[in-house]
Amino acid sequence: MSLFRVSTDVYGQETLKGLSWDLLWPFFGVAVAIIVIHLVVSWLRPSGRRKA
Amino acid sequence: MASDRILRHKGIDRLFHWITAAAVLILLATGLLPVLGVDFDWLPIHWVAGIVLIVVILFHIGRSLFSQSVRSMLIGPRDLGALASDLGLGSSTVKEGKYLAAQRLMHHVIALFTLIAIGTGAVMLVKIDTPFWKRQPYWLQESTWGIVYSFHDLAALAFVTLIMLHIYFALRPEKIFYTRSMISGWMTRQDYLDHHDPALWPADEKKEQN
Repeated sequence: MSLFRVSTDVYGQETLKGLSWDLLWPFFGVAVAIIVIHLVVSWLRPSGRRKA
Repeated sequence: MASDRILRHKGIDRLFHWITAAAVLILLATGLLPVLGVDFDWLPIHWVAGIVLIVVILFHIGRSLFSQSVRSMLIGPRDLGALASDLGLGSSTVKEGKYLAAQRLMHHVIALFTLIAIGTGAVMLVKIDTPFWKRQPYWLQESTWGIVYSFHDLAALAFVTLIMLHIYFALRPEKIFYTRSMISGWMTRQDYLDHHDPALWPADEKKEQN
């Protein structure tokens, strides 16, 4: 997975174009992971289960 | 007799929040849907929403500095203990001021990436034609544009994570009264007494509270 988007000009030089859009899924995944961990920990805690 | 309702957010602040939310969601959709293969004329919607966001953020910064309590948003080492409580993971509820430590932390992280997004976005406006100005694509070197784009992309990606977490915690049953207060403006006196320290956020002065 690349971190950056680059283009190559007519002289063969690479130019930075921005961050790679492959990174979208890791950022999405971090949010999902935090939400799932919070849901599980909240549910496992006695006070959390009482509220549920 | 004391009112059962405590004013938490004035109308102007609720309006700011929801305009900001709409602008950010439009910006994310118009910025990222084309990346996911949804092809449409996204740029005009994107730059107009970006200008709306810049205007409301400038308004918010001015209002925060000159007519609201900046102190109520400060965060320090002693707030770390309150974070577990705020996230519903502590052994007891820590009563705090108007804004919970977790709310302040989320605000500051979102503020950081918002400033990066609107700062780089404002610079990128010179690269597009609008009814108000002609594009100046050679205003910066190509490699410098790449750095500007990279920071703009980073802010967009961070917003994916931050908005998902913001909506998740806003919809949690034990925090839903804060979301209701962002719609209606008020919270119940019971929620206020359960979660806030009247010494840090005196409800009796609610009309003056910002």
